[in-house]
Amino acid sequence: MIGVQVQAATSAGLSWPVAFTEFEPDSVHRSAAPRVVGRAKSLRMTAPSPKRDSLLLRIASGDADAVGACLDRYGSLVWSVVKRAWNDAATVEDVVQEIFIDVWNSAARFDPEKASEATFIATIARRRVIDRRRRAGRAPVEEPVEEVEMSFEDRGLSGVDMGDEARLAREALEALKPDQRRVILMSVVDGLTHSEIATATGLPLGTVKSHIRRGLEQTAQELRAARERTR
Amino acid sequence: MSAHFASWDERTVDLAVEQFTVGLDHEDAATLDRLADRADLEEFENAFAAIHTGHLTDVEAPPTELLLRLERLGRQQVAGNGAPADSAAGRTATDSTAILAWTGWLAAAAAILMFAFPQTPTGSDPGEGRSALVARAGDLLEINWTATEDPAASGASGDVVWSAAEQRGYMRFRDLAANDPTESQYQLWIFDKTRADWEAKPVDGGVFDVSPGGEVVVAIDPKLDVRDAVLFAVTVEVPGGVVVSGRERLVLTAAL
Repeated sequence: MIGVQVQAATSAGLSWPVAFTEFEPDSVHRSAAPRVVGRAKSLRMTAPSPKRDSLLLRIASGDADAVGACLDRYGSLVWSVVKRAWNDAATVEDVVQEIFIDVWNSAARFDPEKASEATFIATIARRRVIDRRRRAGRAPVEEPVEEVEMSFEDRGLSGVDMGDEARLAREALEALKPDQRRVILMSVVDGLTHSEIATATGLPLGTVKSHIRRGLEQTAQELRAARERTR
Repeated sequence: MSAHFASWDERTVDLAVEQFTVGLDHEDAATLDRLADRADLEEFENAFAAIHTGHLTDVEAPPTELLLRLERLGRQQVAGNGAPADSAAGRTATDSTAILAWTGWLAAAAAILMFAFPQTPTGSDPGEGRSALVARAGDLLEINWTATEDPAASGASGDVVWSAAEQRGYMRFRDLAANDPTESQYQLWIFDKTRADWEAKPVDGGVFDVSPGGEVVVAIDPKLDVRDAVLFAVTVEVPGGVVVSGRERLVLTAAL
């Protein structure tokens, strides 16, 4: 029956809107000051004013001009998260594309009271990476993250808008002992399981778990306090 | 402010850490949802993201070509976001003909402020998952696909099974045309009668690809809970799917 109904709907000449007819495939918008692509932009030490400058809220409201700005601001962040999981450039590009499509789709869910844009986008990126790795049959990253004592600038982060929350998270972990910090990074950045970390470090499983819990609680506490300060 | 996760027991913390590092299967994800407050889980996950962001190394910019492509895709999607769905307000049609004639479907997931957790079925063979679901679900909905006149659907058949209790389902296709994921992807739309403005705002059931030859089973990946599905529809969309479907290419439907 439904086939007949569908045919009836189409043959009746009902007009199905073309969602993207306003789009001209070859016209990529450029503002008065051309957007720079393909290289890192200037250092941005603090997050933009959450509500007034929220690119995601602009995107959610249908402001297509915010798309390029969002890519400028967070393209390197997403690319770097994904690139850590795969060496293959084609896969990295695919996953980055999926993530940004998800970001456009999810922009209306962004709530600056809960997280910064960088955190929101990194969350989407992490979910997608975790999901893809599960589908593909998960394998740990080849080069686990090393203990890094350099500043953001020294580590090449000067081209990325990390936002205040990343800095707070970093400071929260810096307050921990090096072995605690290492365990947390093996879990969060490298995506290793508790057991894998215990094997790699020789630490008891319970210690691994408590290190991770403490680090995450510490970080969340800092983030929460920062949000409450800005309210 | 909700009670934060400092009060979680060890099992809850273990599940949450696993969820946000390597992912959980459906059963464990459902357990975690029961054990933990959603706002607490969000906060916990945000800590993962902030730590990760703060400890990135070897940061580099994406290739220019990719940025340009992403901007093009983003502009397409954003341009489609606010458009047609609201024009449907006040409409009372309830049968599938009317729904299929609707002036644009806006994915319900895009229209609400909700933090959806990843529920993508992972880690198991969809064919086996389907068989298991059919064997155990007491509320199973099973509907055959009906092909439209779209060339991709020529000779295509199959069915969709869905369990509202488990929030899980599978699509089975035979002879549905293979797609080139760089050109287009199939996208499922689920019409849930319990949702406000459900005829214009179906739930995005996820994008998927079809390889050449044989039978294909695809796990449904709804972005929101689907409580009372009355119509499933598959469209062809740009890679990654869309928020608003113009339904230029509706290929299959399955209606109660």
